[in-house]
Amino acid sequence: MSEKIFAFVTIIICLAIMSIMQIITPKLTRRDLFFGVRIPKEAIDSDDTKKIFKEYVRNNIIFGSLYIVLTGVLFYFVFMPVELVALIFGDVILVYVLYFISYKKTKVLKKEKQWDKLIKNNMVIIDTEFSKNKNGKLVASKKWFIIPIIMIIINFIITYICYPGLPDKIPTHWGFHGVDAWSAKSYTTVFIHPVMQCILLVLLYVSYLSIGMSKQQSSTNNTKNSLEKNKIFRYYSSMIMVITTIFVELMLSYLNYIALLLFKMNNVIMIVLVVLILSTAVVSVFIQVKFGQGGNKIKLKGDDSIIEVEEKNDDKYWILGFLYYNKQDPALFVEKRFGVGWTVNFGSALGLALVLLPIILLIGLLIVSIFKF
Amino acid sequence: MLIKIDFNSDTPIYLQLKRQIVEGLATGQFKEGESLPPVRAMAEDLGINMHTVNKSYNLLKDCGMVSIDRRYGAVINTQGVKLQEDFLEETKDEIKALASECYIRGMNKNDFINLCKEVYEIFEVKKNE
Repeated sequence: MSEKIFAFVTIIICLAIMSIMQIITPKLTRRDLFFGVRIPKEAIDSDDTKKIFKEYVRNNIIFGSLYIVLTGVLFYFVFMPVELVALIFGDVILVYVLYFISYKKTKVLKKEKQWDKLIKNNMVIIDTEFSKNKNGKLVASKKWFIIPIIMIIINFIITYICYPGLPDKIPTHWGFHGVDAWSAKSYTTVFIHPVMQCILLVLLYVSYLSIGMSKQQSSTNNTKNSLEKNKIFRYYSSMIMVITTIFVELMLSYLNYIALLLFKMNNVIMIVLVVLILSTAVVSVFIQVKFGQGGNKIKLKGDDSIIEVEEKNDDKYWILGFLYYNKQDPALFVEKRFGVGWTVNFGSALGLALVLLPIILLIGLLIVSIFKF
Repeated sequence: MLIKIDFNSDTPIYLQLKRQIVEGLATGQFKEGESLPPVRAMAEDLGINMHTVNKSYNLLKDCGMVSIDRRYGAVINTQGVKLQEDFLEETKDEIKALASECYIRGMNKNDFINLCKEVYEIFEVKKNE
């Protein structure tokens, strides 16, 4: 019973945090981007946009709360892991629908007010020094990744050594009260853990790379300043990425050793590991809120608080305001329009592959786990 | 150095890029021996096709302003730049076109010369810095 309550509370907290983050997000984006639509300087903080924002907040509060109540009801009657995953996915869909409603309103408003005419220029300004330094000096050193790589190599070795000594039936799932599922020992069920670690490391490393590689984006009216802020943003984002990777791999290593029956699950160690990972999540959110997307909310010394805009006409490349599709653009990663972080250029084959690959992997793993377990 | 590309301009993008790099050279923002960003990085950041950037870099090479090294990419190398006959001819034509427009609009000779002077002075100042 307590397990059910614990899971319930965890889910509710997750859903609540998701709603709160969604509500804050419009305040974090670059100021000339509103719900995925580019607006002119004159429209920033106008009454019309404020109205759309208020409605967006109201929607999130109402439907977010309703969703939490729905979750509560579902939990009371049913409780299976599948439902948990479906609930999270459901909330993601809800969040996108609410975003889409505001995106549509903004597009309609832009057309109605003819804001297109106010965005007179269509240009881009870059700093060649920034272009040269991407990938190297803009992000935390990639040498940090040696730590998780060594951890994984050690894990593979230890798993290989321990394998013969394992009993024929090994635990594969732990609940609150210890082990609650066993499987027949095989190379798949045992090596799945370090293999998962590898796959996760690859995904996290690619995310780290995307920070350094992503397209330079600066304002056209305050270029040097916005690039300075962007450097700070990229550096700290990459640092958090590196630290998260190390802690997550550490936790997975510990779980692997428990699965190999080398250690017994120690609640203190588990709590420490979970706290470490949660704190990186907290710091990550803090960076997002304090720095804003691309660092646009950072206050530099002597910053004259010019409202930074990009005098560009690129709505046509942003499908639904959040999917970037531009075949002419060789850039693989670009800043998100709505939200903090980066997204992929779906117009590039590699970009598409990078997005589809984890999804295919995930589906593959699900299929494997259904058949093997 | 800051490079600006105007997508609404009548001037083709590869020419805008080449011109700005040349200006950067003249104003000392690009120094001898300095390398330009790799074609890919430049194209990505500008959001333009890599062929366009390649075209600009090759134009610069043909003018004798950069040399293209397989490892380091385009490097500023003005050793081969000369004031050639055909360049002089082209420049004469362009000045004719520019001066005609200014003249028709009522600009007098001294103002036109002063404009040229101002620009050259920027180059000399930067050179001596």
